[in-house]
Amino acid sequence: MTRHIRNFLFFGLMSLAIWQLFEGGYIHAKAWLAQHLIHATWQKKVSHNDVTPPWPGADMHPVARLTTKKGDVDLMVLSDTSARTLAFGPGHMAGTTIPGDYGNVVMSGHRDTHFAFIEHLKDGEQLNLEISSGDQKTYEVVGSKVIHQREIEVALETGDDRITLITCYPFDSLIPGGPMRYAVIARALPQPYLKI
Amino acid sequence: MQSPSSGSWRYTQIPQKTIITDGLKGLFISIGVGLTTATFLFATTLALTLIAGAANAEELNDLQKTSSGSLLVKNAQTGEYTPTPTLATEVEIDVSGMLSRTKVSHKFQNNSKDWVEGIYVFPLPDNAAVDRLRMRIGSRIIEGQIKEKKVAKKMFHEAKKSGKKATLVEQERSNIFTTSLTNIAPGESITVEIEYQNILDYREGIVRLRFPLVVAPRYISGREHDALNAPYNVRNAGQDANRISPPVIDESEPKRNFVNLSINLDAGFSIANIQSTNHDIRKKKITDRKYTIQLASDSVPADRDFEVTWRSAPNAMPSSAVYTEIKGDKHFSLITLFPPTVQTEPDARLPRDVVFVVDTSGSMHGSSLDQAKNALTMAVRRLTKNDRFNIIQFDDKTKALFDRERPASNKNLKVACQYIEALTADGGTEFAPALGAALNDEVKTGRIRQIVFITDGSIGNEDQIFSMIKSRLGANRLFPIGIGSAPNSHLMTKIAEYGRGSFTYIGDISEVAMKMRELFNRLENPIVTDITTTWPKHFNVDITPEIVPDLYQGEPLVIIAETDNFATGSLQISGMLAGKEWSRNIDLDTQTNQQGIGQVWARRKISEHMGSLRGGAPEDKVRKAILNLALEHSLITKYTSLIAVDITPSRTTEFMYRQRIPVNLPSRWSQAKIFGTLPQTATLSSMHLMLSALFSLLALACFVRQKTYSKARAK
Repeated sequence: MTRHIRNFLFFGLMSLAIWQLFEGGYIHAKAWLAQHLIHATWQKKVSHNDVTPPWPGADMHPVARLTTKKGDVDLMVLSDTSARTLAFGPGHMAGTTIPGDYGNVVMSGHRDTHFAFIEHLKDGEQLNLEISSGDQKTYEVVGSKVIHQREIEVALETGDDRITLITCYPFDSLIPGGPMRYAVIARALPQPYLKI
Repeated sequence: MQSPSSGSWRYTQIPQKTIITDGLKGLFISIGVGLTTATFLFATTLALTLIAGAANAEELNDLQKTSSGSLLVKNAQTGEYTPTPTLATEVEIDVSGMLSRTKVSHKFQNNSKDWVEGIYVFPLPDNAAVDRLRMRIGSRIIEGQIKEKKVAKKMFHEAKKSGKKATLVEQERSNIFTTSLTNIAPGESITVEIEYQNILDYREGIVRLRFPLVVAPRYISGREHDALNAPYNVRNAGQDANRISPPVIDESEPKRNFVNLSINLDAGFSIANIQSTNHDIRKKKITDRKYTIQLASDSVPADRDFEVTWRSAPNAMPSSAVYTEIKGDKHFSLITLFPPTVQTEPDARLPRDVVFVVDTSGSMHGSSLDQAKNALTMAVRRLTKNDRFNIIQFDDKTKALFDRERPASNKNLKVACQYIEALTADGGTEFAPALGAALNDEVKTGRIRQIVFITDGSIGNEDQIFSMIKSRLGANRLFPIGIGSAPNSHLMTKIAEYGRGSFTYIGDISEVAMKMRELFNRLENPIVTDITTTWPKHFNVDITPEIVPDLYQGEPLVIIAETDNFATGSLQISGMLAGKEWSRNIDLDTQTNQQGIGQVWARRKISEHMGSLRGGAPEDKVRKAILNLALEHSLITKYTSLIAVDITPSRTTEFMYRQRIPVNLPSRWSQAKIFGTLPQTATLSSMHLMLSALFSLLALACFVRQKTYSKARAK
C-alpha cells in the first residue's frame, strides 16, 4: 500500500523534474536556434541586400552583428527590445542612435542567454559591430555600472561615440522582473568611416 | 575630454538584501549540487545545475567585495571627444491671403577637427509642398534638382565617395523630413535652404498659421492588432522607426537648435487681432491688411511649435475669393467660399451618442493631462438629457467607464466627472485597440454618433490607424483634439479627414474653454452636406478634393482646380443647408495672378493618391501618378527627393565621420515618462532548471527511502 504511494510519488516527482528541465531548456534552445536562423539571413542581407525574414512570419529583423575580438561571442542584434524579440536575440533600443552611426547605440539582451557574457567583459576588451552595409566599427570597453531601471540617462546621447549594453541584474536572481540593470559602456576607437 | 553627461557616472551600491538572498541561494544550490551528484537518473540536469552553481559561487565573492565599495564601477577612460555639429534655423514666411510661402534655412556648423557627414530630422506643416532646395557654401549657391528617390540617393552616395559636398532632402512621413549633408570640412558651415507652399487653416473667422519646431519622440507600436483586418503594410508598422526617431538631448543639458522666425503678412482683408499661442511676438503694422511679425526674443530653442492666428475686422471678410496662377498652358484656381451661418433652437438638435477617447500614456504626463481633463469635463457638461455617452482611456491598455453608451443623466455625469478626475498618465500609446473599441458599435437610426478623442498624438504606426478608420467608419464621425506642445497634426488632420470630422488643436490650458466651445458649436449645429460643384461646359477640369466633405459651422470650402483654359464664366456650388437646398455662383474671372497654386494643387492630388494607396489601390499605379505630378511641380514626396551636388570635389585624402544631430525634447515633456524604463532582460529558465534539480532530489530521496524500506522488510 505505502509502497504504491511511494512509487507514485517517485514517478510524479520525476515527471515534474523532466517537465521543468524541458521548460528551462526550451528557452535556451529557442535563443540558440533563432540566432542560427538570423545569422543565415544576415549573410544574405550583407552580400545580396536580400531581406527575407529569418523564418516565415518573423516580425523583427536583424540590424547589426555584435562580436567580441576574442571570438567567443557572435550575436545578431534585432530591431527592437520587446519581450518577444529578446527571446530570439539582443535588441537595439528604439530612439537611440542607429548601429553604425556616431552616438550612443543602446542594446539590451537577456542576462541568462545572449547577454550572459557581458558580466565577464573587462576594461580594454574590444567589441566589433557590423551593420548591414558591411561597414564595421570597433569599440573598447571603458566601464560598467549597476543602475536602476528608471535611470534611463544611460540610454541618452553623451556627445561621444559609444555602445551601451544593458542586461538585468543581479545575474543569478531566480525570478525575472527585478528593478536593477547592469550596463557596460564601450567607446568607439578612432576609426575612419569613409576614405576616398 | 569627457562630455558633461558622461562625466557623472553614478556609483550605485548593491542593496544589502540582494546579497543575503543571493548568499542563501548559492548555499542552497551548493547543497543541491552535492546531493544531486549521486543521482544517475538526471545526468543532464546535473550538468546544467553544476555549471550554474559554479558561476554562482564566483559571483557571490564578487558581490561581497562590491558591497564595500566600487568594484563594479570601472574607471571611465578618457576617450576622444568630438563636439556634435550645431544647427541654427531661420524661418521666413510670406503670407498672401490664404496662401503662405515659407523659406527655412538650416545652418550646419562643423565644430570638429574632422570631415563629417550629418543627418538632421525636422518637421514641416502637414500640407507643405516642398519645391525648392538651395545649398549655400560661403558665397556659392547650388540649386537642388527634383529626382526620383532612388536616383537621388545614388547621386548622393556617389558625391560622398568622390569627396563632393552634397545635400539630400527626403520625406519620411508626410510631415517629417530629413536632410543629409556630406563632406563638411573641419570648421566649415553650410546653409541648406528649402522652400514650401501651403494653404492656411481657416475656421470660425480665425486664420491659423502653424510652424512645427519639434519632432516629438514617437511611440512606435510594437504589436499587431488582429482585430484590424487592415490590408496595407501592417506588418511593417514601425520598421522605419529608427529614421524618424532622432537622438534626444539630455533634459539636464541646455536646449540646442535655436530658431529665428519672421512673417510678412498680407491677409487680403483688414486684420483685427493677431495672437501667438506659444511664443512672445513683436508685430509691426504697415497698413490695415499688412503686418510684419517676429519672435520677441531673437532666438528661441526649437522645443515647442509656433502658432500665430489673426481674424478679420468686422464685416471685412469677403464671402468668397478666387486666385489664379498661369503656368505654361495650364491654369490653376484656388476657390474659397464661406457658407452663411444658421442658428437653430436647442430643441431641434438631433440626439447624439458621444464617445470620448482620452490618451493617458506617459507622454501626456503633466500639463497635457490637466488640459485633457479640463476639456473632457467641459465636454461632458455640455451633454443634454437626450444624449448618451461613454469615456474610454488608453495607454498600452484600453479601459472604458461604462460597458456601452449610457444616458447623460445627472447620476451618470457625476460618475463620469469622478472618473475624469482620477485619470493618471503612464505607459505606452497603443491607439488602435481604443479606436477599435470606440468604432465598435452599430449606429442607431436617428442618432448622430461622434467620437471625440484627446491625445498629444505621438503615435507612429499611422497607416495602420488610417486603414482601420477607412474600413470601419460607417456612420461614425471622428473629432481629434490635439493637446500639448507638439501634437502630430499630420495624423490628427488625416484622422479628421478620413473620419469626416474636424481637428482641434489646444496649445495652452488657457485656450481649453474657447476651443472646446468652438468644437461643440460645430458638433451641435447643422452643417452643409451633399456639396456638388458644376463647372462651365467648355471646361476640362481636374479638381481637388474630388468628393467635397461636409462643412461644419464656420468652416470654408476650399477647392483647387487645374483647367486647360482661361478661367471664365461662373462656378455653381450647391448642397443642403439645415435641411434646405442651397446654392451659390462664383465668378471665375479674376485679375489676380498668384504664385504657388499649382504646387498646392499637386500636393493635394498627391495626398489623395497616397490615400487611395491606403484604400488598397495598386502601388505601382499610384507611384507612377505621383512621380508624374512630383517631377512636373518639383515636389518632395514619398517617391521623389531634392538633391544638390557640388561640382568640384573638396575632400581629397582625409577620412570622414558620420553624425546625427540631436533634437530637443518638447517643452514640458519628461524623459523618464517617455522612455519609461529600461527593457526587461531576464527569463524564467534558471528557475525552471532549479525546480528540476529540486524535484529530482526529492525523487532521489524517495528512491533511497524505498530501498532501505525494502531491505528492512526483507530482513
